[in-house]
Amino acid sequence: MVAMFESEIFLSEILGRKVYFKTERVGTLEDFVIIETGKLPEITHLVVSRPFGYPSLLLPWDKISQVSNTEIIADIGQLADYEKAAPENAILLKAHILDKKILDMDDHEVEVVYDVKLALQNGKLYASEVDFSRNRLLRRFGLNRLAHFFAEHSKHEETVSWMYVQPLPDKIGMFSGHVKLNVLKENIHDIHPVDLADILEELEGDQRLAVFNQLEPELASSTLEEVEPRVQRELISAINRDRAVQLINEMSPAQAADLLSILPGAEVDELLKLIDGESAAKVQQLVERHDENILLYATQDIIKLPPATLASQVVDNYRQIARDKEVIMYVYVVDENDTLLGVVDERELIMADETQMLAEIMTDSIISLGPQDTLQNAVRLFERYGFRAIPVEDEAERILGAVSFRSIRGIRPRLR
Amino acid sequence: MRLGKAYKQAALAAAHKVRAKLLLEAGDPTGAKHEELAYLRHLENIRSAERQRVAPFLDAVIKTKLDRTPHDGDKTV
Repeated sequence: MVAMFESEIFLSEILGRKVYFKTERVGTLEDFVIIETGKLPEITHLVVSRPFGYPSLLLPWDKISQVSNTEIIADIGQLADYEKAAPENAILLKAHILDKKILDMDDHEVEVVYDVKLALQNGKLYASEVDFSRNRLLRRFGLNRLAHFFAEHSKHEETVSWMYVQPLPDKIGMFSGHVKLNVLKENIHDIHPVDLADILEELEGDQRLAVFNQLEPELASSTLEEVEPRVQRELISAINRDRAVQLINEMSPAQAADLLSILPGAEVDELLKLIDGESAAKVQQLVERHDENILLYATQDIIKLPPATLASQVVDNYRQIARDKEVIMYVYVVDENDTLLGVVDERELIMADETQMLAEIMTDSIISLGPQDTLQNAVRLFERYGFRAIPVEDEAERILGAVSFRSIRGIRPRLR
Repeated sequence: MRLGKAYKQAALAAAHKVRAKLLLEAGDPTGAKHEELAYLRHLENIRSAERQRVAPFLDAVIKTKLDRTPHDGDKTV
């Protein structure tokens, strides 16, 4: 059983301590090997570096007899028996965890692991907490008084138990010095695409790609729409062609064109041949001619119903009515000639009583776009009125389709 | 004027018409009269050019509302 003077200690404080075999100094503590036990990871080995070109030692924790605040004493037989490197798939606290980034699922910022707290329990040493406070960083640099000052004035808890920390799955990088930790063992698929985009932008090449490849196509597509062009370019070029096509097919033509417009021409040509025929023509027109006519951004997959339809029937059958439609937050009330008579939103539908018809509850003062309008016109209307979709109608007030805010949202900044 | 406005006014008129009938059957002639006036007001809001167009719609809405609402017309002899 090890005798340890401190029951808790920070990794940064113990690294570099001298390691002795009885009274003979054998090296310096370089790192710890941990294994996941389902709760807190347990330290299994110490990596001890030695001078003058001697191979480093891998000492099992149960061979350590004493840890004081200046030295570590091991009780081992032949040194040669322990002259080995850590296994390739081993998780090393210093090499793989310290100073690496965490994905903070709580506020979706990326934090840095400044230190790891180690705790002794029943003779075993565990990694108990991850510390990402600036105070720890200051202490590591020897600025203890400053660290103490910030600690006293800080309101935020900046350590988190390792119970909530989960290394990324094995297939991601295999701890080759690029470990990222998920705080709060939450499914990455529960993160909003906008927040996922921020996270991806913070990560580096391989890690970014590895996390991105974990995402289901719909989420990956939405996230791809949100990341900055530089990262979009990198991801599309790095993922395999089939997946790229799958993601682009999930997007609206406007979003797809926006994405393709940042890629090299040859790549665009190749992708255009592979994406769904129906939207490919629109996408091509958008990409090649920079055509901003609103009809290219409008969809005809909208809900159109006659004015004498009972609102309650619409509510009761909404799932069937809305299936396969792109714009479902509004019902467009039309006559037999597709003349747009009014618009009903889902709130008005739900609030209607049993006998009310669409014609009674619809808004008949309609804000719409015409077939000659451009994307700029649509953007202005969205900004002014805050609608989620705007119908497009011709001079005879026949509805031609609708433009959803979502389908043009990401491309807005490029128009300014 | 948009055709939609005409339809909306017709639908609202129909609702008042149905309520007028129900109130009359319920023995409330005063309430029925108010509903009839509201019905007429909505009809006046429809341009004459569109009144012809929405007339069938108006009749259809009144019929549908009456069919869905229990009233004296349901009694059989």
